[in-house]
Amino acid sequence: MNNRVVLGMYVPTNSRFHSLDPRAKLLVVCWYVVLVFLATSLVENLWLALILGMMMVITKVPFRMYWHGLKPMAWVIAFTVVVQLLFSSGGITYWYWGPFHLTSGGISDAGLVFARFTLVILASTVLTVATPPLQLADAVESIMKPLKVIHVPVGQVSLMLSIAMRFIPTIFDEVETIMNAQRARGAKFDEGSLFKRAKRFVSVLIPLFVTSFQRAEELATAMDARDYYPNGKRTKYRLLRWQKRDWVAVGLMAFVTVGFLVCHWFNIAII
Amino acid sequence: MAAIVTTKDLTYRYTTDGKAALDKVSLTIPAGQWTAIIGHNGSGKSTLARLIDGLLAPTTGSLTVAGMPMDDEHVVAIRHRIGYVFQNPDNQFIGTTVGEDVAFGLENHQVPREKMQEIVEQSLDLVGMSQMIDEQPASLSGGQKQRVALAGVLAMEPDILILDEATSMLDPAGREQIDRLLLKLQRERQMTIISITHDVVETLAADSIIIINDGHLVKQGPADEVLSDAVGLLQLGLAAPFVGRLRLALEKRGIKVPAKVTDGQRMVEWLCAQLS
Amino acid sequence: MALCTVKLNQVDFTYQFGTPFAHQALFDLSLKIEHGSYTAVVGPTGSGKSTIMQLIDGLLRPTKGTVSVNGVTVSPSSSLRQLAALRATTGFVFQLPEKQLFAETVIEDVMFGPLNNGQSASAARENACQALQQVGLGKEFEQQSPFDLSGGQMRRVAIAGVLAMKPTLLILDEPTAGLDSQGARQILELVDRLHQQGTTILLVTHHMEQVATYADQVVVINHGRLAFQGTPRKLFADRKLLAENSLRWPAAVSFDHALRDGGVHLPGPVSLSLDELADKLATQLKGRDQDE
Repeated sequence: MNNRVVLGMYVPTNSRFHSLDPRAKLLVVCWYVVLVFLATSLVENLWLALILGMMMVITKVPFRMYWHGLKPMAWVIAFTVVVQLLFSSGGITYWYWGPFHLTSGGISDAGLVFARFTLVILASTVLTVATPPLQLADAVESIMKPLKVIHVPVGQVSLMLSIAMRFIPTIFDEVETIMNAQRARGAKFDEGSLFKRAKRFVSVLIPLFVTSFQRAEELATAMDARDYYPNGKRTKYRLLRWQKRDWVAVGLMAFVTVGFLVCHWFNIAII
Repeated sequence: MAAIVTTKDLTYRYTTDGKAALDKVSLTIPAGQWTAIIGHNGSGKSTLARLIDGLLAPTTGSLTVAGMPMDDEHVVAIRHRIGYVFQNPDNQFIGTTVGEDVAFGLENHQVPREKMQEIVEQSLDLVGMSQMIDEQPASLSGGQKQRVALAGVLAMEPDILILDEATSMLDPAGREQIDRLLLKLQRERQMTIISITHDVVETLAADSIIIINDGHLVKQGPADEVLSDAVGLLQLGLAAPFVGRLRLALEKRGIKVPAKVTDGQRMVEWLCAQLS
Repeated sequence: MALCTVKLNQVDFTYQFGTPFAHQALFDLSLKIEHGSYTAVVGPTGSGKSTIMQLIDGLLRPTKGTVSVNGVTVSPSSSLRQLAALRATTGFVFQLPEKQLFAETVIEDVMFGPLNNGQSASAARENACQALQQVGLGKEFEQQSPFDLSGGQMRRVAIAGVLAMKPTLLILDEPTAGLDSQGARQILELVDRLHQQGTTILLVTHHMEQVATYADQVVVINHGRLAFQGTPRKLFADRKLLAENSLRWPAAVSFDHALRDGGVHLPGPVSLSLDELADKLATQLKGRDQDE
C-alpha cells in the first residue's frame, strides 16, 4: 500500500521555488529553455549552466534526483554527441578515417548539443520535481483558457485531466496487486522470451481493463449522484493565486536574460 | 409518520427481455427515520436505491420522492434532496484532494468560492476530517475516504441520505465511526437515512427494516420485530443477529425460550432469572 | 517439538528503502507458525499484516532478518529466483481475489497456476478439476466465462486457482470481504475442511467470530510489531491487550460475560463460540429442571 510509484518525480520540499504559482514555474522554465536554444557560445552556456545550478540548489531537492531524471536520456545524449563529433565538418580537421572526421567545428557542435540536451532536461526536471502533476495541469489549463472562444470545452477537458491524474496512483496500485496475485500463482514476469513475457502480461491487462471499466462506470454514477451535468455551469474550488513572489521570479528571469545578452555581446566583442 | 419515498409496482429490468431485478415493489419509507434495506447479494436492493435517486429509470411502475413524482421534469430537483454514498471508497473520490472532493457537488451547484470554502470546512469538521483537507486520496484509509464521501454529500444539505453498502469494505473501527456519525445526523437533523446492506449487524441502529429477496419485497416492519425472526432471516440466506441464533441453538438442544425474549437485554435477563 | 512451516527471524521491512519516500512497515518482527495450525492474523488496517503475508510469499524481500517457509530461507541479499522459491509450497488468496480472473473459461483460469509451475496440460487440467470440486463448483462451470458468474462464485473460482497448485500453506487475506452471509459461510467451511485435511492456514481477518470459531492460534500485529501470539482463548481473556489493539470480543464472549456478570454460574472458561455457549446453557438449564 505504501509502495507508491513516484509519478513525474515530484519531490516535496519547503523551498521557495516549490511555493511559486505553477504558472510562474512553467513560465520561468519555458523562458529558460528558449534562452538555451538561443545560446550559441561557451560563455552563454556557462551563464545558463550557472543559473540552472542555482535553481537546482534553490529547490532543495537532492542532486541524486536530478541524476535520475538525466540518466534515462544519457544514451541518447552520448549517441548524438558522438555523431556530431564524427560527422560534423567545418574549421580545422584534426583527424579523419573514411567517412569519419574530427574537426574543430564538430567539437564545438558536439559541445553545443551536449549543453542543450543536458540543460533542457535538467530544467524540465526542475519543473517536475517542484510541481505536483495536478498543479501543472492547472497551469496548462489556465494557459489554454483563450481556447474557450473557439468552443473547446476547456472545463470538461480539465476535469477529465484532473480525474485521470487522481486515478493514476490508484491504477498503479491495482497493477501491482494484480501482478502480485498472478506471481503468487507462479507467473514469472521477468523470465523467458519477449513473446512469452508479453503473453503473460495478458493475465495482468485483462483484469486491469475489467476493473478500470468498472471503476469508470461507478465513478460516472457517483458524479451523476452529485449533480454533475457535463454542459452545466460550474464554479471552481481550486484556484491558482499569483502573488508577489511570482512577479519576483519572473523579474529574476528578466535579469537572467539581461545577463545572457551581456554574455552574448561579450562573446561578439572578443571575436 | 409522513412518507418521504413511496413506490408503486416499481419494476426494473436491466435488459428488455431479462429477469426483473426488481418486481412490482410497492413500499413507503417514513421521513426522518433510519430505514435499512437488506437482502443477499444480487437481491435487487441496490437497484431499488438507484431508482430512488433517479440514477436508473423504472421499467414500469412509479415512485414519488419528497412529494415529487420521479420523471424527467423532477429528477434534478429530487437528486438535490438526496445524498448518495456508494460502496467502493475509491470509485467515488472525484477530487484530487480531500477538500476538492467535498467541493465537487458545490461546484456543480455553482456555489461561490468563498462560501464553498466555508461549507467544505464545516462538512469536514462534522465528519472529523478537517485536519486532512489537503491530503490526497492515496494517503487515506478506506474509512477516511468514506467519511470524506459523507462530507461531500452533507455539504449539499440533503434531506435523504442513501448509503449503498457504504461500510462493507471497511474494518470494524471504520464502520463504527461511520455508524456513530449517521446516528448523530439522524437524531440531530431529522435526516432520513436509507442504508442498503447484506449484513444484519449493520442494521442494529435502524428504526425499520425492509427485506428484498429476488426482486420482491418480502417484509417491512420495525427493526426489532424483523430481526427477532431468526428462522425467517436464515431462510432468506441472511445472517440472524446473535440472540436469534442463540435462541435457535437452544431450541435445537430442547430448551424452549419464551416468545417475548427478542433482544440481547431480555435474553440475558431471562437466562439470569432461570439460572441464578 | 512441533514443526514450523513459517519462521520470521528479526525481520524489518521498509517500503522504498533508500529513497526520500522510505517508510518502515515492520520492526524487528519474529514469528513462528506451526505446521498444520490454523492461525488468524488480526490488527488494525495498516498495521503491517499484509506486508507480512507478502514477505512469506516471497513477493517482498526483507530489509533485515530472514524469512523461512518449509525449509527455504531468504535474506535481504536473496535473488528474485530465491524469493520465488518461497512460493513453491505456498498459496496466497489475495483480498478480493476475483480481481485476478482473466481467462476465457473458468477451467483455463484455474489451470493458470499449475501450468506456470511447469505441469503438463493434462495434469494441470486434472488438478484444476479437483480444485473446482473442492470449492463446490461442478463440471457445468468449467466452460463458462468467469465474468458471467456471481460475486461469490467468482471468488470461489479464484480460490480454486490457488488450490490447484496444491499448497501446503494457504494464506487468505480477508476472504469473506464483501460476501453475504451465505457466501462467507461457504468460504469459511471450505477453509476449515482444507485445514482438517492437513493444510496450514494463515487467515487475515477483522472478524473476531472467525477467530473464535475456526482458529487455533492468533497473531496480533500492531504498528508493525508483534503484539501477541497464542490461543484465541488467551487473547479474549486479556481485556487490556484487546483494548490496546482496538480489538473486541466476539458476540459469544460478550454474551458469556454479560451472563456471568448477571450472576449466572457457567462452568469452565469463557465460551468462544455460539455452540459452546449453547451447550453450556443447555446443560445448566436441564440440570435445573432435574433439581426441581
